[in-house]
Amino acid sequence: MAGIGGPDAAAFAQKSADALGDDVLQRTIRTRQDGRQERQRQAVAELPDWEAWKDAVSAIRAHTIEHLDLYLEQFADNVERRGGHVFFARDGTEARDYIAQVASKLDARLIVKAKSMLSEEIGLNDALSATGAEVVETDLGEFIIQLAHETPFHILGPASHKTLDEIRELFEALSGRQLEGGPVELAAFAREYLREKFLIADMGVSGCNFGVASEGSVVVVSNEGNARLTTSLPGTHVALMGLDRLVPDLESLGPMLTVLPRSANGVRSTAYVSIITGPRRPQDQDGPQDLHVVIIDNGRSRILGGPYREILKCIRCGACLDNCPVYRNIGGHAYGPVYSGPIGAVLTPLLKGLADHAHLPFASSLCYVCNDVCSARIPLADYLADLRADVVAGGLDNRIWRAGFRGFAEATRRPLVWESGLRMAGLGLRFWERDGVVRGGPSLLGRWTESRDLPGLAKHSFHERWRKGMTSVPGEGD
Amino acid sequence: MERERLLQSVRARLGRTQDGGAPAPPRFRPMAPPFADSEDDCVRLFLERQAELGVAVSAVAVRDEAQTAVQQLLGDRRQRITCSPELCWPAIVPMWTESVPDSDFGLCEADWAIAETGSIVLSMGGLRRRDVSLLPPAVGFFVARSRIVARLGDVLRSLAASPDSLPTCVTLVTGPSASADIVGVRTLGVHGPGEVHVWLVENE
Repeated sequence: MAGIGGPDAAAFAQKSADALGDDVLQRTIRTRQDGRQERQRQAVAELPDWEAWKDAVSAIRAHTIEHLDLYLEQFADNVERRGGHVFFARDGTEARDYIAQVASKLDARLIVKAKSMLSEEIGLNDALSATGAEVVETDLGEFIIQLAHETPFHILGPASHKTLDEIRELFEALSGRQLEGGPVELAAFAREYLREKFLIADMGVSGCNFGVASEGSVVVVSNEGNARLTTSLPGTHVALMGLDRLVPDLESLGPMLTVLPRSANGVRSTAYVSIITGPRRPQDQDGPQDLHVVIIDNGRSRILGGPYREILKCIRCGACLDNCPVYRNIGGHAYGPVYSGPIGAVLTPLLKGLADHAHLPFASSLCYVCNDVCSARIPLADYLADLRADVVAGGLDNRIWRAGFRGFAEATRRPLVWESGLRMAGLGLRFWERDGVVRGGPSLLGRWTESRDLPGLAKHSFHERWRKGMTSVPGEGD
Repeated sequence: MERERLLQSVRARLGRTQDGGAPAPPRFRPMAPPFADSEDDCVRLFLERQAELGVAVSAVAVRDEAQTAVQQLLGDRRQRITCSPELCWPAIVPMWTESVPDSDFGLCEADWAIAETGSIVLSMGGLRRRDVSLLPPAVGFFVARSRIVARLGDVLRSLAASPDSLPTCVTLVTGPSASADIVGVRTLGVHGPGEVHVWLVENE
C-alpha cells in the first residue's frame, strides 16, 4: 500500500513483487499449499464432530486468556515446585539478557535449538552468539534457513521455498564435499551433522506449544525428534513460552493435541509430543539437570482486554497461511521476518505497533477463508477489516487515497458532478485503453493498472441508458 | 520482581481487582468414536494405524514369546540393543550395550497405546531413560493389548488422576521420525528413529 506503513511497507511491496516475478517460487508455493490443503481436508474429514472440536479449542483458550493472571501464577508456582526456574520477561531484551546470562554462567560453548517462532520474534540467536557460543538450529527447515541467513517462509515449514539444488549447495558449502542424491540423502547428511552437535551441546533451547498450569508442564510438539533431543540431551533446557500459551490442565490438552496436528500438517498426531514436568529428578537416569522457563510478554499483555484479544487464542497451526490466496501469491517473506499470512497480518501490527505495520491489514482479499479454517475460531478477517478502520481513524492511511475517497463521497452526492466526472474520466481513460482494458497512465492510475486489469468505461453510462429507456443490452451495442 | 510487575499489568488489563481461583475450565465431551466400546475394535484400529504409519507389527501370545521374537529380529542383524533394566532379559543380554548413542536398537515398554492416532505413550523417569527411544536408528515397543485405549483423552485423564506421580517426561510416539522440510518430500529418521517395530503382547 503506497504511502502506508513506513519502511516495512516498502519492503513488503518489493518482496511481494519479487515473489510474484519468480516462476519457480510461484510453482513451489502452489504445490506446497495444494498438498497441505488436501492433507488437512482428509484429516479433518475423519472427525464427524470436527467443528465441535474447534469450538472446544476456542472455549478453552478463551477461558485461559480471560483468567490468564491466575493461570500464569499457578503455572509458575508449579514449575518452581518441580525444581524449575521461571523468568518473566517484559520484552525481547529482558528475555535475551536472561537467556544469555544463563548461557554465560554455564560457559556454554554449543547451544542447540528446536524451532521456536518466539525465538525468531525476540532475535535470540544473535544474543546467544554474542556470548561466544555456537548456536545451531536443529529443525531441518530452520537449519537450512540458518545456513542461508534467511528468515522463515512459513511458521511451520520455514524452508518450504527452498529448492533441492539450493539446499544441496548450502549443505555442500558446510561439509566441503559434494553431496549426491535427493531429499533422503540430504536429510541423512543433516542427521549425521546435527547428531554430533546434540551429543556435545551444553544447552538446549526450545519453544513451548502449551504450558499446563495445573502441573507446570511444558508441552513440545515435533515431527523430526529434534525437539526431544534438544530437551533431553543437554544439561540445561531453556523453554521459551509466550505469555498466552497456557492451558488450565492436562485434560484441556486433549482438544489442542487433536486439532493442532490435523490443522497444521494434516495428520492425526505429530510424530512426537512431549509433556515435560520439571528438570531431572534424583532417581532419573537422563534428562537436563536444569530447566528454565522464560515467559515472554513482548506486547501480548497489551492485547488483553482489548478489541483484538481473541488473537491470543492462536495455537500456531498455520492453517490460515495454507489456505490464504494472498500468501499463495506473495509467499511468507513479504510479511516481515517472523509471522506471515493472515495471523501475521493481524499479530505483527498488534505486537509491534500499527504505525509501522499499517500496510499489513491490507494484505488480504477479505475472502474470510482464514476465519473458516482457524483452529481456535479467531475472527481473523474481521480483525483485518477492523485494523484497516484503525489505520484510517489513526490518520495512518495515504493522503492521496483519503483525498480520493473524500472526492468520491462528494461526487456521489451530486448527480451533475458525478455524471460529468464520469464522462471526463471515460474520455481520459481512452488514451490508455487497448482492447477494452486500460493499461498504464499517470501516477496512481499507472501503478494501479501495473498489476490489475481495469476495464475501460462504457460509452454510455447506466443513467444515460436508463433515461433512453434501456434500449440496448448492457455490454452490447455501445 | 519481574514476575509481580508482569502479573500486575496482566491483572490491570483484565480489569481484575481481587484474587480468587479460576472457575473450572470448560470440558468437552466429543462424540464417542465407533470403536470406543469394544477392546477388539480398539486393538484392530491400533494395528491398522501402525500399518498406515509404516510400523512393523507382530503379535506374541505371552511375554516369554517376545524374547524369542526380539532375538529373531535382531539376532541375525548382530545388533547392539539398549533398553531399561526390566527388559534386559537373558536373551537380550548378549546383545545389550551400555552406550545408548552407539546402539542400533532401542527396546521400550509402552505405558499405553492410543487406537485413534496409533500413538505409543512412554512414561520416562527413574530407570526409564528418554534417549533409549530416541537415539538409536530403530526402536521397538512392547504394547500389552490391555493397555490400548481409544483416545488421547483417556490417557490424559489417567495422568491427571494421579498428578503426584506424573513422571518427568511423558512422550507420545506416533510412527517414525519424519520431516518434509526438504522440498516437501517425506523423509524418515531425520533425528529420531526411522524404523519402528511394535510387538503386541496378547495376554498380560
